[in-house]
Amino acid sequence: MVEHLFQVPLIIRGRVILDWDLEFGGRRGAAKFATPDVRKHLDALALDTASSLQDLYALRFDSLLDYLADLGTRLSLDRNPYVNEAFELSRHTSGLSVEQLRNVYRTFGRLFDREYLREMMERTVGVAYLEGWVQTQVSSGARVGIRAFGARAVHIVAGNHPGVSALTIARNALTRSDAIIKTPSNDPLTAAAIARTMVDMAPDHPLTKHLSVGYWKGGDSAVEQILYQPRNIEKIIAWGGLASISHVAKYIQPGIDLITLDPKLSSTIIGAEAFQGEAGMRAVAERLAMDVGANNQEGCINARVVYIETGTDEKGVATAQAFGKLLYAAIQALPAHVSAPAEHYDPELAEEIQGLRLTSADHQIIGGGVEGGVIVSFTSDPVDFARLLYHRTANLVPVDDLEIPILAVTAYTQTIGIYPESLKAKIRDRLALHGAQRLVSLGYASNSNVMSVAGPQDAIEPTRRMCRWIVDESSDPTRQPLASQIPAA
Amino acid sequence: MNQAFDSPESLIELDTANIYALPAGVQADIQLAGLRKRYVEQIKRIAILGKLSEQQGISEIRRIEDAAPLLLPHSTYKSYSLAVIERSDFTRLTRWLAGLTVHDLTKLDASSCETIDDWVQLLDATTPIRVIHSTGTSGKLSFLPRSEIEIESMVHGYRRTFDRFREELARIAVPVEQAALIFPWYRHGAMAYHRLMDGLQKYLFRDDGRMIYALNPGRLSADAISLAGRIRAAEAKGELGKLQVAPKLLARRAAFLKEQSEAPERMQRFLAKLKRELSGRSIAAIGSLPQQFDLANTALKNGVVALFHPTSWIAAGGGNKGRDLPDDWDTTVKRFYGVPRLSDGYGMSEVVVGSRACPNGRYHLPAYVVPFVLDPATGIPAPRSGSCTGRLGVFDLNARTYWGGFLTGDKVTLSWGDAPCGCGRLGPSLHPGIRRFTDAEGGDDKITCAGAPDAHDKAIDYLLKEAG
Repeated sequence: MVEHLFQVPLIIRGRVILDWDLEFGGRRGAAKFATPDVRKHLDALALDTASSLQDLYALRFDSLLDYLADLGTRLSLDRNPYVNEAFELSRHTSGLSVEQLRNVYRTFGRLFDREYLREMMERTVGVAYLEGWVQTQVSSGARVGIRAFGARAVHIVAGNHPGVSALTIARNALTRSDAIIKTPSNDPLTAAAIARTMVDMAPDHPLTKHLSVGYWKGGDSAVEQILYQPRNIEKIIAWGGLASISHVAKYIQPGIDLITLDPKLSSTIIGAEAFQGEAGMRAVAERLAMDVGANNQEGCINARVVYIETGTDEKGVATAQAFGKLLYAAIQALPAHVSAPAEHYDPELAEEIQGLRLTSADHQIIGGGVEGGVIVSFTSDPVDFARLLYHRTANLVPVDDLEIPILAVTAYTQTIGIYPESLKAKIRDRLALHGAQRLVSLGYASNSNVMSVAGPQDAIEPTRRMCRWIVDESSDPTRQPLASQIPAA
Repeated sequence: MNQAFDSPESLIELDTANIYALPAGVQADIQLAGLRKRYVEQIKRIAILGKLSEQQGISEIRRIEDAAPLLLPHSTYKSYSLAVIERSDFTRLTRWLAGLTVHDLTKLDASSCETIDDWVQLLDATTPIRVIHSTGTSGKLSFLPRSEIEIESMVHGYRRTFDRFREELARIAVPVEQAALIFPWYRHGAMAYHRLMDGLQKYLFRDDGRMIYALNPGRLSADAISLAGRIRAAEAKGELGKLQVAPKLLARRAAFLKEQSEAPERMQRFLAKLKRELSGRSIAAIGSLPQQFDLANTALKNGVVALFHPTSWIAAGGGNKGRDLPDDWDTTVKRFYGVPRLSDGYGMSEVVVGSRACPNGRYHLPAYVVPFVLDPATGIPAPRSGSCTGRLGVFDLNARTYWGGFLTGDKVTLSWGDAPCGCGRLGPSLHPGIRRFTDAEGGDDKITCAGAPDAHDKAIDYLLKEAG
């Protein structure tokens, strides 16, 4: 492969900086990029007066949506050279196939659809709170106004899906915040492409002026020591857990709110009803294949360990093996824009599977190469390397008792796909108490549309937390005497 | 020399000068003969080799390269399920181990074992197998089924370290049998270090236990090491409360606690003994980097400086094991021992003998270690001439009771030796600057939303405080 040097601009509030001071090696050894040295531009990058957010408050929520909708129409892969460049770079660094990436970038504009964003903000924050003071009267007689204000934030975004950058930019705009996006080495260009499009579209618009995008190596103290100060930012939104916050943690102090979107893993629980006949098993396998295979299992939402209530006796294990074959076939049958064989297979996973293949009498491995695979456990134990399951590889774990999967849920469990529906209703409270954060009908784990519109993401409501929730209390001395004027009880 | 064709394990009994005098072509001939012999001997006896051959469509070794697909990755030796340890199911673990060795374990009854230590000691007592386990930093110990005859080879390999090559500096100033060995950790256990020391005591020091100076005369518990790794893994998954610990291990808490509290005093006694008995003498010392640093650091704080003869051999291997050590850790170690340099070597538990750097900084592989340099993505072996860079695989001809093919995780540059090294050694050599592929390929800030975070080591603490 010929090594191409990509150029990643630094964008600071409407200003595009195109100096190629530094080079960084991209992921998987195939893409390198040049970028300006952020250290030279720190004065401009830090926004040290909070009141400079004022300009955003002259804008109605509707006009924010207008801006984003207009932006959305300009992000087409075929017409936008910046988006095209991001696509080209992602081809080298992403775990998604070229066809999937093309599909993602072709439909990128939809993430800025007016009605979609309005509904998202209505359900995750409440548009009225973003637009003005929401007044209520409390029983003591005081009137209370509450408003969600924007904040100055650094976003350390994940790079396993380009949608993360788009979502971050939309959330920043609609909460009337100021964002400095620190891009990851596995996707340094997507956020920059959107920001550059904004600069071309409306160079002086306040939304353009409250977005900066740059790449510096995570942990570069020359940058972070200056930037991560309460006088410059109020929030850090960090995707990727320890990988990003291990650098950030030392800067956390009163005045900086850290919102972590920790890495998560997802799983599946399938009740005995699914295994009554071959037709039924096939239909369930098709639904499960979506949860396993969508976006090539690159996401936290994807199923990895799948608990199946087949029982662990000889008959149960035979059923599990038969179901494994159906699942494997269903994964292979997924359409190419949804799921594809791996292009850069993880050698660590390959070796774990090989180790099992050569030595284990307790597992069956169906497939297990770049095309994906199913590892059937013959006992109720998931494979020890479950956290490495990628590239459309599922581990089917037969159980006699659904207590096993319920007890296996932890704080690092994100989504659980469940079949049948009646089972979900029965066990959902217990799953929640153990740490599960999102329960879905089997096959719908990757339904990101529903997730971003309705979802309190990772049980922590990050969009609400991106805001500063301010209260204005109004009390009337004629109705509520000062406490000092009330005699002691 | 002809003997080497029939029994490649005898090569290691040759003096270093003779081994490295073999022309590269002769080395390759011996290696091909050795590979074929091992393959034929073991194909029917080691289940994993049979499966791998079948999977790769290999039925004989015609060229050295044919063995490249038969190199086993590290994961092989830890491919058992952790559940067997949690449930003390040592019958199942024995069945798993049986697939990796030529020894017949069908009659071994491990059902009464409750801990890994029990199991290892049962194997020691009733079979020729001398299991070697890893440190299990990932949460799982690997188990390599070495046997007593390979322990003998380890001792030969230790001797080779002190053979003088031409006019190069001697590593110790006395015959190897007379150089006491210092090891700043447990004397007994089942890691490669401990197996080597058992072998040295038996074969080199003629059962004289006084030649080995270990900081702790006791035994390193494989269970404690295993538990440490499992706690890390459980913490990472938020499952600490679910950790299952064998009752027998819990019962040893008091003993662990006592050991821990005695550590400072033990260190003082150890230093006093070294001063009293070995001051000014030419010695050998092995240990991991943190162990060597801790010993040296304590010694210097107590005013013990340059304790030994400057022609002493000090090895600190295996990386810093996750410890944060000062950048000048090696200065501390050198000052304590009183030596101008530390030994620079390259080796691994899976290979019987490591290599020491030559005056040009190269690690020359002796003929009984057959190297392969593979493309990290495709596994295709590089041509065996000139120089090449890739993932190192080795076949250890000293392995007689387990399959000697091993795929490392190391990125190396290897010269095949058609142009001789200035030091005079013939045959293949590795260039300095070896690193793990994981460090070479990753390590920058890729961020994804999928995964589970890492956590810290609180092993014995957990056992002491929480599991009770």
